[in-house]
Amino acid sequence: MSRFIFPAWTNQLKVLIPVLLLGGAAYLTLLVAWGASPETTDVGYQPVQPVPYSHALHAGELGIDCRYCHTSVEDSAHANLPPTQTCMNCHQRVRTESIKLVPVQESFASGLPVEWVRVHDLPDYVYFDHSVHVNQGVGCVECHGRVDRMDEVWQHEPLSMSWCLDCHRDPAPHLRPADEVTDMAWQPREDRQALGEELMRLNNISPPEDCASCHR
Amino acid sequence: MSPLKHKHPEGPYWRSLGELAGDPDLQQLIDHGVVPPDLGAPSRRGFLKALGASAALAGLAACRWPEEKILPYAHRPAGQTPGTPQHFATAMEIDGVALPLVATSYDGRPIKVDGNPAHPASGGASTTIAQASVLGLYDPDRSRGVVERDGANELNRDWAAAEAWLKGRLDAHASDAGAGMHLLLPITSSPTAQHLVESIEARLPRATIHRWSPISRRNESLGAMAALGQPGRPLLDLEQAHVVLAIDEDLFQGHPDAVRLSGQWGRRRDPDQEHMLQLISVESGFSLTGAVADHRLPLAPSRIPGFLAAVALALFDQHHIAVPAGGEAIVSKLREHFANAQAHELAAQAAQALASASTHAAVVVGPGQGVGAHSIGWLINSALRSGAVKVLLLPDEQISGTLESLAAAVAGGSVQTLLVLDTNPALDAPADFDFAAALASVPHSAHLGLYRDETGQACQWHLPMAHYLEAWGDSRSWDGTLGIAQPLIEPLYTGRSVIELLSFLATGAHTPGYDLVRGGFAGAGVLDALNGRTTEQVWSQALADGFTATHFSQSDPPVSRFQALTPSLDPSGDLALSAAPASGLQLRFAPCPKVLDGRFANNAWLQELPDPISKLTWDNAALMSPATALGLGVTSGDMLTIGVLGVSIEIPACVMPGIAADTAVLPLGYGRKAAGAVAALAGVDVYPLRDSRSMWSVGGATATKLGRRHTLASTQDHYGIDARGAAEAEGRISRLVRTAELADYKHHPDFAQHTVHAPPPISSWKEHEYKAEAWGMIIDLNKCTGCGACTMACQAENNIPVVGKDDVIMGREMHWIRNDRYFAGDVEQPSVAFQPVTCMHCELAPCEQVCPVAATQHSDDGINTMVYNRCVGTRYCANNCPYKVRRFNFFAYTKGASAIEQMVRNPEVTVRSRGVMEKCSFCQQRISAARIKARNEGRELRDGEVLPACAQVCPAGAISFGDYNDPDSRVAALAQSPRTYELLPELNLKQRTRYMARVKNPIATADAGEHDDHGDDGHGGQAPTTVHSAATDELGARSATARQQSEKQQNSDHGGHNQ
Repeated sequence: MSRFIFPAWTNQLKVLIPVLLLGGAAYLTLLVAWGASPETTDVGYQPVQPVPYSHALHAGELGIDCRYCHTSVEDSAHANLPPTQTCMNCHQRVRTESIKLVPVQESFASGLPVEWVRVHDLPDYVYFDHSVHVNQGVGCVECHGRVDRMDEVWQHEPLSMSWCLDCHRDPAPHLRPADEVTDMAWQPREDRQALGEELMRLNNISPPEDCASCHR
Repeated sequence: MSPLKHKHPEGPYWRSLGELAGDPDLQQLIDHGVVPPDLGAPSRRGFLKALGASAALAGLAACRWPEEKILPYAHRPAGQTPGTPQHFATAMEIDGVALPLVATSYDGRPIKVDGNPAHPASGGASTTIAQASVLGLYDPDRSRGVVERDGANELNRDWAAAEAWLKGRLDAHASDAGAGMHLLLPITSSPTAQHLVESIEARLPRATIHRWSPISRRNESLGAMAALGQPGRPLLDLEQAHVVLAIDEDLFQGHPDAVRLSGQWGRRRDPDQEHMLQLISVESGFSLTGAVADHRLPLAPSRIPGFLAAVALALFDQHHIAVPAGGEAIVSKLREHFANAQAHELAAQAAQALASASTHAAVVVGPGQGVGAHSIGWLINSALRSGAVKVLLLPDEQISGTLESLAAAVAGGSVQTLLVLDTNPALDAPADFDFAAALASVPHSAHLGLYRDETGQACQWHLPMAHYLEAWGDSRSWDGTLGIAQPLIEPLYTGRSVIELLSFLATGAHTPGYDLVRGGFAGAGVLDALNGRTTEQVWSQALADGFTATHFSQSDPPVSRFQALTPSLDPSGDLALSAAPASGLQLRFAPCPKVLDGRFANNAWLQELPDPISKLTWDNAALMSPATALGLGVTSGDMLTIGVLGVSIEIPACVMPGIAADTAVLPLGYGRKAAGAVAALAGVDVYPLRDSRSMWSVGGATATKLGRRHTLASTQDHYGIDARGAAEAEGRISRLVRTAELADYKHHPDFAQHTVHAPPPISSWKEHEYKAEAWGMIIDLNKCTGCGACTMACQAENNIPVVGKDDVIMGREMHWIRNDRYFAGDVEQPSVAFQPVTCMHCELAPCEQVCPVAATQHSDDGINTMVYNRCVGTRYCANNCPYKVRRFNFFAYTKGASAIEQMVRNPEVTVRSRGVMEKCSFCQQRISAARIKARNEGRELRDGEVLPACAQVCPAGAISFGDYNDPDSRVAALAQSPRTYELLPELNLKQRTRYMARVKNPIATADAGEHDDHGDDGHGGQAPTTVHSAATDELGARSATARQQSEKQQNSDHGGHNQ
């Protein structure tokens, strides 16, 4: 019996197939790792809102404190959106003829809510508590970015678990005195790391790293 | 040191009769692990469905999850912070007695109900029924609107139409001052309702008001009349009692004051106090009181008055207690009827105990006994000058008006208009009234109820009622304290409350409940002592507290001593009846501890909760003792026809040790066809057997085997074990539930430490030192009454799903904390031990070692945590758990819930889907919430601030939770107690959940001074020292035969098994 002889072009194939397979696997891995990671899919999320509310105008230019609207951020797990009543505190008199405010006025009159689209959303199996972060000195800007420069809010940070853990494992670079949390432009006078470590010591800050602290 | 051979008072434990007798079905369970389900042949449709599902999965999902909306208020109510729960005091009234509650409202909807810590009758604890009541609020089977039945047509109407009709009826009766108009009301203690009834009576003087409850405590009130001349109720104070004799009464479940009594029980069972409470129980069925009593005697219902008479006569004759003034008549009747009755040994012993406790003794008689037994009870209390029981005299209307007069009026044709409010006589009226048929003959009828139930369908109009969490109301607790019930949510289905309807009848216009209660507040006598406050201040305080302390009448506080009896009712007829022996099988109609008289039959949580003693779910059965079953030739699950007085029903038998001889206990409230989808799945209606002359028990019944079988879902036979294992288990269970008698405890307080001798623990694992909090739980078995409130509270708090009867049969019930019930001793008269079992949160947890995906981990404060999103469902952890506390979601039990049903869920706890393991988390959400609160306030956690749901609800205070590392905490102190031990310590798991051993307090007998020598055998296995029953020689022989038979079976199993 004569041995089977492969045609000549299979010599190249012998090299090409493993290269393609390995290269393809590497390519797919990198594609998923970079393309499907929260940094890619979540950062920059900027949904269209029913009312073109501009934080840059209200929080930035007018200087309204975050907590004027997001009132429960120091008391509750949820940082609430303001009721229509809060908007109308000013807008009963201010810019009443503006077409942008029509949904707000309709909500106020009818009692039905304005249907905002959530920008910073965590999965349902994550239980995040705002109040303990705000009270321990984590500034708004650390997680939400420079909202006071955003005309339409977009997600600045990935809010992924590894991103959260990075801070939980080393909170010092992200801490500030508790009365400065809403100051988006705040810069420390001294070394940030040293200040953070001092605050950790003073306030007995020890962020949990147990699974159950967030996943319950 | 050689192990102590402490006198084990109860002998080897066994879990069920099947284990003892080598039941073939149990053998199947043992051999195959589960009773194989009948899955049925797969259908073509099912196959295609499965195919379609996998095809759908092939599609790509979006790279980011779907858009989520945030909907803030347009006008936010003042004081409400979104996402923060609020607490409001309210009350739940059952048959005229309020249970004080604090309800938790999350974003405007109530999700949990707990006791009111400030209220003396509650102390923060509550009952299984209270815990489950929040599910009833969101029941999709509730009636959603007004329905008018016009001939064969059923029309959906609205309240305007109903009001027009009611107005029409009021106008029609205006000319004859209400003659022919009848109102049927539930028993209620609401002062507002009472004022409105008086207004109606003023407006329509000839209208008749009736009151009805199928499980009313009327006999108790009549008994007080028989002895003391006025209707009243006993206020038992266990803090003052050393010896209590409970006659056919369950103090810890079903009793309107059960929460307070359980709390007192817990405090009085501390074995280190001077006079540990001693409880003696005589009953026909098996109640919690009987289960925890130091002595229990099962007696057929007709024999119980005889027992009590024997105790009374022994007190007067042997112990020379003086007959109280006014009591001579009763005593002479007792001598007349009961002098020749054969007395039980326990009667003499009980008399001795009562006599020596004298003013610290009390006798309580249950509502199932007649006037005769109650008057004997008061006679004894009076003779002993008992300081442990007082009488709260009730106003007459509390027992006035009966269904009998209404039924007679309907039969006589004099009822033109009948309005039935919040009661269901078409289901539960005595069978001889034939009320459902009678209703059809009433020309104009209307029903107000939570469901369009049997009565609602029989009446012309059905009006939806508001749930107690939706309506304003007021009611009084057992001791007369007035409680305000405030709603937490607007009526979901346009329901109205009883008082709103009464006010419509009184005035012809609709008045909101708030105005009625606020207006009635002034008339409730609470403003007599303003003490410088305004009315508004008193009202606001009452609203915030949930109650304001008054009695039924300011001028009649509870009577503390009653030296003289002044009977106004003659009990001799009832006594004569009791003296005549009843023949044949006796039936005892018992309100089910879960669904009561059936009003909660549609509550899935309650249906799935195992009955405390029988451990049955989703069913009722005729409970009978092994001897009775042997006589009938039946075993558990055999269908029977039970007939009495010409009526018969078909019901499965359930053989239960400890039921009285010749008695079958029939739980009420099942087999309802018009209560909703859940109730229709459960049980058999026994109301047809219940006659007006035999509301609680009847003799002369017959039972015949039908030849069919019915599968009963009991949680007591899961995880069957083979004969060698059973022998090992018998020894082990006495190590799991460690018990000693008081005398032994006094000699050896650390008996619990010497029950098990394990080699010194050497760990294979590197042990972790817990520097921060070390959470732990200690469960005091001495206090636990087995009520199951912990299971129900956990279910409400943690979104635990209901799995249904078929899955319960396969052992898949999802309760994170279960109450194991063990029998010990004589099969006919066993003693019972309860043990709540929850995750032990072992520091060296076997479950954590084997999870392939690290879904279960140990936190820095010692909690064995469960991360649901990591779990892939290998179930290795459940396999490795020695306590079998891990529950697996075999199906998507939580899927498919309607929007209304989803409202009951606690948003703080993940809702688990299919394929995920779950278990007790020590209420991690409460720990986190408390920790965050403490952090925000800049302080440390305090002891008692973190309260898991089970610890919060336990009425007996058996469950303590806290930080072992906190030297001042309660659990740290309890951990040092000599009674504290761990389960299966030889496994060296360093469990955080520990138990405290039980100490029984039997009546001291002549040989009490004996002390067992210290032998080598550390295991149990001794004969029980409880008093033997042997009511008659015949009975004794029969039970001995049964025992021999089961022993023979057991021996043959031991002999022939294990090749």
